[in-house]
Amino acid sequence: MNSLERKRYARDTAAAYLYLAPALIIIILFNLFPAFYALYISLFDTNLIGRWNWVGFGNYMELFRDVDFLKSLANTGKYVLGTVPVGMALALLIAWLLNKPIRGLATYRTAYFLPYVTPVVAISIVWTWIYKEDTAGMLNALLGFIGVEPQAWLLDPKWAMFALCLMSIWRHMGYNVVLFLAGLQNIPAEYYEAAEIDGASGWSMFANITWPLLSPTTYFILMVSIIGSFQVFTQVYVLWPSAQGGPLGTTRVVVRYLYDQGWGAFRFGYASAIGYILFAIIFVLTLVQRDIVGKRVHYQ
Amino acid sequence: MKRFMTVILMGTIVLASLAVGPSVAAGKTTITFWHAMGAQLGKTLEALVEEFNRQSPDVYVKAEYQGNYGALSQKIVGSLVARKPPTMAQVYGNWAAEYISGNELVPIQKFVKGPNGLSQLEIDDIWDGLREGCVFDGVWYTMPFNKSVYVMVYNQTALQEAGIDGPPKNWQELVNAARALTVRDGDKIVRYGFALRPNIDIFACFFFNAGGVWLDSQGKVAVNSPAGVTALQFMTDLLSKYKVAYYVPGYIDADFGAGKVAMYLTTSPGLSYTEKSVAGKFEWSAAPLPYMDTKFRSTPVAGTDLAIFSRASAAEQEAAWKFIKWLVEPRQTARWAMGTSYIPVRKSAMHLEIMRKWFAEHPRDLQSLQQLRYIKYDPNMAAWNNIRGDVSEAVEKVFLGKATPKEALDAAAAKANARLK
Repeated sequence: MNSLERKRYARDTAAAYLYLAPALIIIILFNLFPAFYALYISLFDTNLIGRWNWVGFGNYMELFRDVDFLKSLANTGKYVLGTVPVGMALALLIAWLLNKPIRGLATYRTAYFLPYVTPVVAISIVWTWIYKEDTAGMLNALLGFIGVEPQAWLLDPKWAMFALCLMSIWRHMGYNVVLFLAGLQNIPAEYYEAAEIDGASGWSMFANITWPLLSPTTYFILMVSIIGSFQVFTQVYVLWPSAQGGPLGTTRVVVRYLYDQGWGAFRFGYASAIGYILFAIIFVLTLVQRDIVGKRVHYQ
Repeated sequence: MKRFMTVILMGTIVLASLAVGPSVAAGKTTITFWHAMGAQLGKTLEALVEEFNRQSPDVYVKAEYQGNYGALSQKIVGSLVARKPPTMAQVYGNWAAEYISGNELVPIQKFVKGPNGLSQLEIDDIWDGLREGCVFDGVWYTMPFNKSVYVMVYNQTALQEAGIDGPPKNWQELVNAARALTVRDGDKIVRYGFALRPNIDIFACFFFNAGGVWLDSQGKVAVNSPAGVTALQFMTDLLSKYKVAYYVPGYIDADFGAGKVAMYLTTSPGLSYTEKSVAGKFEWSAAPLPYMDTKFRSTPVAGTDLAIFSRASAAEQEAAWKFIKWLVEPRQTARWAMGTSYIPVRKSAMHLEIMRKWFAEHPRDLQSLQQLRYIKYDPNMAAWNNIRGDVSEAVEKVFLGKATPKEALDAAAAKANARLK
């Protein structure tokens, strides 16, 4: 590099950083700094106001003995298991149907995507009406036609988690469907034509062409869904405003507990520790997935 | 295009300067007051603030609505961390305890005993139970403001039809009335005599009236005392033994209005929701909480107090005190009570002409005030938020048949006391 080139290089680099600056500053200020600051305060017993007692890993140690926290972890686990597999299977089925040349395709596609672009708070309020415990509730009214007794969906410990999962699956469906649909359309039609000539059945086409070639999409959706499910909060907060979170605490998920320990109990250090435990869980799970599922992904 | 942008920019600057205009009232000390009073409550508060600003020669109060209590709490914490709190705000007792840990509040005591303070007569005029709830470690920190007590709402028409003279005064009468008011159609219950929510506040309505206290003489949480077990057993009996109470985790006013429930407990400002739900379909009224024994008569108190932040300048603190002092004068507290169904914090407000007239027209509101001598409040301790959860959990467990009152309350007390260390 001669001096002229060096000069130009320096100028270009400076310009690049200048262009990056608006995004960088926002990310550093509102994402990176808070993340590291939370790690720092998780080492204190603090209300952020006057109490700042150094406890080291005390908050983390306490978490392992906190029955409410352990229960919230279990609840979150149930939620992940209740939403991710069913949600993905349904999304794939719908995407497959929407990939066929049917009349009014655009309308269907829009209809499935609509819940995803509607704010969760609005959706949750609508679902409180759907789930209303007496026959005034839409779900109970519908089930009444086939002779099912009205259930207290949100108030019965038997049903609360089911109700939460059902609503969340519905809400995320559109997003997953769109991704699957894009994945399906990426598969070249020639493969199917060739398979047809060889006399392959519908199922073997799915198992040998669709499923392997769709695996990058499936892997991505699996990853994103699991991370998102671990962080569920808004719908829980709206459907069950009380701090106990649902009947007998059955729907108190980790982030709901974190929120209450921070803003309700003024234990911000403890809440930050919960945040970091959650981060650790998601991080480890993601690594495991990369090693186990990621290896089976078939990239074209 | 450039010209257009210039005009827009100029316009924005002019508008922005207008916006700060009126707040800088000439020669007055401006103070900010953060509150969470929306709708009708907010209107009443704004009217009072406006009147104060009109008549005060040297103080201008900027009342700023922050949204609900949750939002208010979050904004106050944020402002304290940023070292820019408002001059004063509405605060709950357990919030105040946190602020005090960082010396962020000026004890109201400093002003009460100061040159522009209150006489002993005026201090005694504030309901004792309310004042005591504002004391932290022996220091009087905050001023009671929007306080409410629990009352029992009853369907007068249904009571008359069942041949009952008046609302039940004690537990025995409550059971009898609830039985008489419960209407069955085969094995289906068409109307419940009573309704119960599974939370600590409704439990407190029975716990206190059985002689229970939250903390024993050693400062330990004593929910599992004989009084606690008796209270929870009584509530459970209403549900599952006599089968006269409806189990409702949410609000009850709609069921009451629909005639599905004949009696329930609510706070005094909750009466306005009852009014809306009933909408003239039947006669109804309110009564003091039923007690187990007359000597245990009591009611839990809820609501916030006013606090002055210590980061404000001395002049601002003094100005905030002038406003608070004015706000709890009998006439203002009476107006506040009439506009909101909160309770007036001064005893003498009850004897004001306007208040008497009001009671003549609104006999229900008088019922909550009859209990003011028997107020009991939650301990002002940082751990209380989580302890509330422990007790609510116990009540819910028992109502759903997962534990006996003794088991559930023992577990709650153990959990709660572990938090006190």
